[in-house]
Amino acid sequence: MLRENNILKLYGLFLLFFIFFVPGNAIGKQNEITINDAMGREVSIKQPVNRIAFSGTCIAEALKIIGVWNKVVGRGYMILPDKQLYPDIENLPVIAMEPGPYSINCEKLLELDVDLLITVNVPFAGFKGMNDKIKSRTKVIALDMFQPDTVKKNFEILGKIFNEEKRSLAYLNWSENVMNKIVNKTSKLALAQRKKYFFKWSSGSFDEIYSMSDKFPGMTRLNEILGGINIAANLNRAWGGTVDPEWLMQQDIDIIICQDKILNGYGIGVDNNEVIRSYRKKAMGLPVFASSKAVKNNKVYMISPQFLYSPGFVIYFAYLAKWFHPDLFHDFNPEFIHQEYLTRFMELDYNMKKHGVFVYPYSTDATRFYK
Amino acid sequence: MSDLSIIQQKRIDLRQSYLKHKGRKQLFVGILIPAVLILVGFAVSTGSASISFADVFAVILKKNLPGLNLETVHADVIIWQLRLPRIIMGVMTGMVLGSSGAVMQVVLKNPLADPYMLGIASAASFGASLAIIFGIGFWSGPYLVIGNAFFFSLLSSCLILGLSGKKEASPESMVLTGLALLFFFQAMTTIVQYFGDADAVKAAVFWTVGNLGKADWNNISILFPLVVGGLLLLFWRSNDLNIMNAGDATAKSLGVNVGFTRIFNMIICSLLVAGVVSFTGTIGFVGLVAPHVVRMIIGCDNKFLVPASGLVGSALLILADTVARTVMSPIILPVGAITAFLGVPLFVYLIIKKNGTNQ
Repeated sequence: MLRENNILKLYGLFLLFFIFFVPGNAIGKQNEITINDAMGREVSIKQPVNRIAFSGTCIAEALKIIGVWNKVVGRGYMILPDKQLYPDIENLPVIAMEPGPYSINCEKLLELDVDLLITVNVPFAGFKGMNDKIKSRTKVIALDMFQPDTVKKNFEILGKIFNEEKRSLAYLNWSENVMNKIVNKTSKLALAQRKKYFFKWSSGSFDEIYSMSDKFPGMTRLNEILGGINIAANLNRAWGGTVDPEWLMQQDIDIIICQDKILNGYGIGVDNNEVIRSYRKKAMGLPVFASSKAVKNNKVYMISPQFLYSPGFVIYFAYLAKWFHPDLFHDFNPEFIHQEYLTRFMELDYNMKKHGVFVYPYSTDATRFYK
Repeated sequence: MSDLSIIQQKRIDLRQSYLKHKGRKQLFVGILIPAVLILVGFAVSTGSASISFADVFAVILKKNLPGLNLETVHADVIIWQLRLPRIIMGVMTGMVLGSSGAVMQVVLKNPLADPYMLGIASAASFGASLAIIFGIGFWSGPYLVIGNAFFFSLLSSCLILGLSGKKEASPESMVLTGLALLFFFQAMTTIVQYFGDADAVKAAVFWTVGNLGKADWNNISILFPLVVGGLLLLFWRSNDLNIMNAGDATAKSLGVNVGFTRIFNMIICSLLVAGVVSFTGTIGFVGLVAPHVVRMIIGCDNKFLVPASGLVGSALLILADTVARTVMSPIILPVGAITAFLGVPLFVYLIIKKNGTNQ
């Protein structure tokens, strides 16, 4: 009887412990983590984070990669949101608009009652003003998901916030593996073997000759990774600008990369490459390029500028590495890497051999477009 | 009836007619004040977030009372930190633009004069572009852009007053010098933007399009003394403008120091406009249309025209900002673009109505 009483007492104590102590400390109480974001700000975030809003395309892809897209309740303004990549995107309220990622409609954001606003770290005015207005109610972090040197730290932060470290690590391992394959070969190149390239980058006009100097963020690193020499490296401007055609015609260009924004040119839902082919033909016919070595050797390549601002920058480097040094990368398949990114990380049931225009011309297995 | 009684009767009629006319003007200003307050109430209860009237007024009235139960989450922050600052900034900006527009139209003897006529806006744009694109400025931190815009606005005004002052501050010399500086600062802005990167240029261009979204209580506390002080000075000297309406020679013969009055008013207007343009960017049309609207309703008595233009300017700007915040919500359009959309039809309607009455 005494023994039974003791057992009952112990059971009662355990029950009391479970009712009062465990829920208060382990189940009910929110965990708080502190992170240093890409702007170097220390931000404390309560977990679990269930409602998020974002501004910046690269953040959207990163959220997809770590599998928390279902937590998004507000989105930044995207001119052409890819409905195939984000099927529900049009139903999400817009919280950010032009001219930049920090132009947030704070009223709308507060109404959505989000736990966290994730934005990009770009040299654009307005972050402080935006943060000051909402910081009493909503946490804001800025991340950088498209620079080879910072992506690791930022994906780790994102994984930690959502307790999705495994998925974050899977992407980082994959991207590091691809980048290592490229750098291992290009880092051994002598100066004479490096390709002199010209980036043509406009808002959508084939005769607008705009480029970036090496002062543009990430350009010197890009040169190192790809084994290239930017012929516009010393453009006498802050980051880049319109290039003098006379100067350009005097340059020895091995390869031209055209990453203009072209309306209805690129995308998962674009199946006809006619727009891009025609654009390339017109650009190659411009007097400023027509007599260049790159045009004569048919080394003019078109690529969607979208890759530049997303965790898919790995794909950008893969395509360019192949175009820059086809002999060095003869066994390297950028299309395969691209397909893997879409299937494995974007979780798309999608066949690149049948759909989509992202680059032109394809380097390998281009059966669809060369028919 | 004797001649004396006829004269006395005429004097009484004239006095009654004057009092009636004055009463109409007082009534107009008297109606405008509650109209602006009603518009403020409407604007504060309208926006991207759906907040009920009950919540809006509960938040405003019970700000410091505990135990506030609100239907809408974060309604207190939305009202106090987001809506009210931009609405109050709108009221102040509208007052400044409307009143300054009325004064400048008289001082410069030009019905097309507006507060930006002396190159203030283009000088402010240049200063802001310099700060946004190259980070160059006379201040640092959050006041880099605002401080630069203010400095260059004042520089433009000082240059005009200094250069035109040598020609006895005639309206023609002021307008021509103003136009010359306007084009000069526009060219300088183009050169600065030409050397900037695309995103910074975009930000600089968006700055020039007026926007009340940057308003906060801190900005308002800086601007408030300038606006109140400046407007009181304009209202105080508005009677001199009535005499100047009769022409410079007549005004001089009636003891008005025309040169001083012109320079004094221009300095006050420049200070006021430079102040608001630094915080909001260029909001066009209000300073031009508000005085004309008031003039069509109550005439040219500057004692009433100047404050009434300010009130109409405020009303127009609050209305335009409410439209800008809601018409494509959650995208907020720049209020500078909306003022013209709202002001032009009103202006054209009044012109047509006035022409009809004259016929």
